[in-house]
Amino acid sequence: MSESSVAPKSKPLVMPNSASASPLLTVSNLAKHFPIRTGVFRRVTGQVKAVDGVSFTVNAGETLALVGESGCGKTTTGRALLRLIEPTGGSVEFDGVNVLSLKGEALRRLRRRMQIVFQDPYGSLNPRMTIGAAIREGLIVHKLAEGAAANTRVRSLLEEVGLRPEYATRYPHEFSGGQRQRVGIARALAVEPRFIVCDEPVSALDVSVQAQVVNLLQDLQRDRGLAYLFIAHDLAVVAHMADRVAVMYLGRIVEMAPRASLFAMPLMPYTQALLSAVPVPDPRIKRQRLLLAGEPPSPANPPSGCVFHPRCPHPAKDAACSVIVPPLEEKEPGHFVACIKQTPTRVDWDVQRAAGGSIPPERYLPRAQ
Amino acid sequence: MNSTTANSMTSEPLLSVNSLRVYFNTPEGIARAVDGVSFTVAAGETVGLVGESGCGKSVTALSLLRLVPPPGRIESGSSIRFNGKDLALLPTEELRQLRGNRLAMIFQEPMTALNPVLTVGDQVAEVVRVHTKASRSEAWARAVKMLAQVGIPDPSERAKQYPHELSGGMRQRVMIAMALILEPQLVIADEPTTALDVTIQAQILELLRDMRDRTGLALLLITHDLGVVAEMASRVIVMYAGEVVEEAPVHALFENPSHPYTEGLLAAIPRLGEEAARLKTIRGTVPPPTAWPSGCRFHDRCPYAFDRCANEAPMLLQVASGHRARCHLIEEPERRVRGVEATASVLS
Amino acid sequence: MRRPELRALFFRRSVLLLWGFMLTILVAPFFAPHDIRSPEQVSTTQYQPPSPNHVMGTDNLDVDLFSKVLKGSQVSLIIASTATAITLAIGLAYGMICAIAGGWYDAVLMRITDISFSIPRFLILLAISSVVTEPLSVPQLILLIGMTGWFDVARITRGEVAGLLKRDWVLAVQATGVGHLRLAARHIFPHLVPILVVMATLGIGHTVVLEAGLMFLGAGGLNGSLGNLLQDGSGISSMTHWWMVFFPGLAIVLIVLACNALGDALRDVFAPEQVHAWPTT
Repeated sequence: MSESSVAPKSKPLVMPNSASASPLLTVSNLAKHFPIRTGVFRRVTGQVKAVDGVSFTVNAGETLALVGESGCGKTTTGRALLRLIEPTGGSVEFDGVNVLSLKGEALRRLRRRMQIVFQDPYGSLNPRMTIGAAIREGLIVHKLAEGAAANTRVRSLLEEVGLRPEYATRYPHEFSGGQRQRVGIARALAVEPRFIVCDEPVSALDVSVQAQVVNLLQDLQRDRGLAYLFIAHDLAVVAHMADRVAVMYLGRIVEMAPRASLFAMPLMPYTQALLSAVPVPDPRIKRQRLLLAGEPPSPANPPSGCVFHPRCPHPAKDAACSVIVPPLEEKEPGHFVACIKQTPTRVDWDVQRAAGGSIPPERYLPRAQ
Repeated sequence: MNSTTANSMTSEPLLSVNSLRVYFNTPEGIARAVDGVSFTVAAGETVGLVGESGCGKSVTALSLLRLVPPPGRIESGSSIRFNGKDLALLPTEELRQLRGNRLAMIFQEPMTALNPVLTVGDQVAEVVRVHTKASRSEAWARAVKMLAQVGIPDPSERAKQYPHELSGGMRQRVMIAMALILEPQLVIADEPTTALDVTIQAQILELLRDMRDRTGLALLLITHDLGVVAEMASRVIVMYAGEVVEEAPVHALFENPSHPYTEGLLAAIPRLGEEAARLKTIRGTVPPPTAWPSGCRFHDRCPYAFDRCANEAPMLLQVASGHRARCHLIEEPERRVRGVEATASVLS
Repeated sequence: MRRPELRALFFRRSVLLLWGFMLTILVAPFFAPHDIRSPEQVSTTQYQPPSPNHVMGTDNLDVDLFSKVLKGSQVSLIIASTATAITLAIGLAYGMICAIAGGWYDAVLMRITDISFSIPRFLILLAISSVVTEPLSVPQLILLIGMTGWFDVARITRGEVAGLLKRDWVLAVQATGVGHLRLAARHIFPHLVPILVVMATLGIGHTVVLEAGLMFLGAGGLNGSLGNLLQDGSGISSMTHWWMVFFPGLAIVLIVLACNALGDALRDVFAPEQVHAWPTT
């Protein structure tokens, strides 16, 4: 079954809401803790702090990338702000509405505005429903169209994502991974959202297919004025998609900056190591790797103070790092970093010394790529 | 110990695969997953076998150790010569003696490749006990030592743990320990880092390089990640639709990709530092192995395809020394006229 | 997708034979050679052993046993199917509610099921029927059997649904704003159909035996089912008039075999998705 070579229909350009100062989505101190139950009576003996105080904003029409390795909490964050998982703390405000307080019909109405695309193209579609029926669900549930009108909408959505409209009667297993991913995108678009959480949408795809889907997402963003929370672990893809990037580690955001700033000058030692670890498809470049020692710790038992400190290569790392939880501070214009040892910092040297610090902060920029 | 064998003296390469064909009988017809693949690996060399899903690279790897599950079968006419013996024809007992000993494999998913009910120490030690006359305690001691060599902290304690108690990176290290403990001449690594986080991947690749330098093993690295290949391999083989479409020394491949598929692949990779507005794509999708296209199997996706391509399957033609590609354009370079996207070489 | 397998299934010899038999039962009473309601002469043809005229012999009222067996099979099947339908309906709903509700509700409701499951069904039914003053009518019998058999259906359903709910596509459906009811009916239910079909076929066979046993022990009133026939044929007459017991018993056995054969075959067809014939490359 060959890919449709139908180009996405061009729609009138929708200008993103850049005039308005207030962001589309504001997340403050979002937390999701999972209780650990042990014993016969299943008493709660601890918490897995999958997401532990995450704050960020997303403006209309822009892409914020959420980057990190497995266990950092990025997927949980994406699902929690949509209330597919119920957060245990914090607040989420979307278009002026307090998301966490919504119930019933109001919550359902919100679902039109905020959508999600999943990572696994094989698990994200009901194998017993035709793809047309799957896309149509949103239209029916929100009473946007029915009967023949709904079918027409479905066909036009399929075209928009680059699939032939007659595929609507086929089942997911008849499609490749990339095509299924397009179906997932069409499903999200059906209800005309303003914001889409893209949960690793291309991680499971081959390189050539990945390029197609990334281009599609960018086209749709431009044509429909969508905002994305783009969750990924592949920094190269992020470099293409994102306007701003937030790096997560063990449930917290450790660095957040505009794309260019982050890649040109990563300030968080974890980000520095992450960037240097990406293999470059160019044999001429002999990468000087910044190898991180050890393994990522478990979110059930996070290190005290700065969660990254056991593996941190910063030359000024000392005992203070295991005591003080670093605040996310603006160290360059628009560039936020959670590190008390990276200058400038508002965590006074006296405070650090009192916590056992012995080495004053300094600006550490290892030879990156 | 036995890593540099007499082979490096003879002209015959350590591994020589010829016209390998692996077919599967499926309800939809015969799936020609591997359809005439030939390549060599010399002693001590690292060869990257690259391709996307559906190209046949994993089946190729499995068939080298005759691990292809039924209904797959290695077709007659295929030859897999290792150390002078044809693995495809070897009696099972002899093959068993080679596996783990001279010829080892590292799999992609450490969780499923390790036995969940045995401790990791036991599993590594078992490799030793199966192939040598070492006693239990000797084997255990060697296992612990090997675990240390692959960078597992506290190896004597960790050896007593079960796979599920270890992280993904650790499990992969255990697999590497199992594969390398008897210092095989050839290690086949099937996507060894794909399931790992990028920082852990960096550690594992470093480890593989380390072990390679130490023991002089040959490495057949199967992956879809061209970045990994660029780092690790000295020679690259690109597969598409069950065939080899290009093979070249690594620099030559990246600087002068001669097959349009390789070109397209290289152009489609997003790269740090090159934030172009749009990624270049290869149009179309991979065909199913039950129905390879006629003529050149890539012709329906190729930006340069011309009339000959749909009718005549190209042979592997020489581009330069050690560099071959399966494309009519080698003979007719003036036809290299761009139809759609795709830049020629990103490194020019 | 599964059509070729279904076709192959229906051509299995065992299935063909036995379901040929079943069809006969269902259709036959319309063609029974002798009307069971009108006995012939009272004296001369009582208790006749099988003969060309009466292939299964006659009973004490001189009614053709073959006709009675056919009719009885029909009755037994009707009782069994209706009761099984009730069982499935209750079990399905209960199981789905448990799985979707989750948490405490799920835990408590399932424990209730587990406890009920451990009580021997046959004995309970027998006990109930002996306490009741009048023999159970057919509707009462059906209800009782139906309402005591749904526990394992609930458990299986709950297990299946709980597994399904973890899939990403369920999250996607919820993200679209679909409510619980629509999710259950439109999205999850189609996945349960294969299992329900298997449980239905096996359940009918099982219930026929159960009902026959109950009737045999006198739990229900006269309704002409196979159990009744067995009951009639037991006792003194079973010694001298073997056909009275043999043929009803044979009918029961064949029905159960047919149901099991079909259920097993269906289970093979609807088994978990087979792994691709070749490893993904």
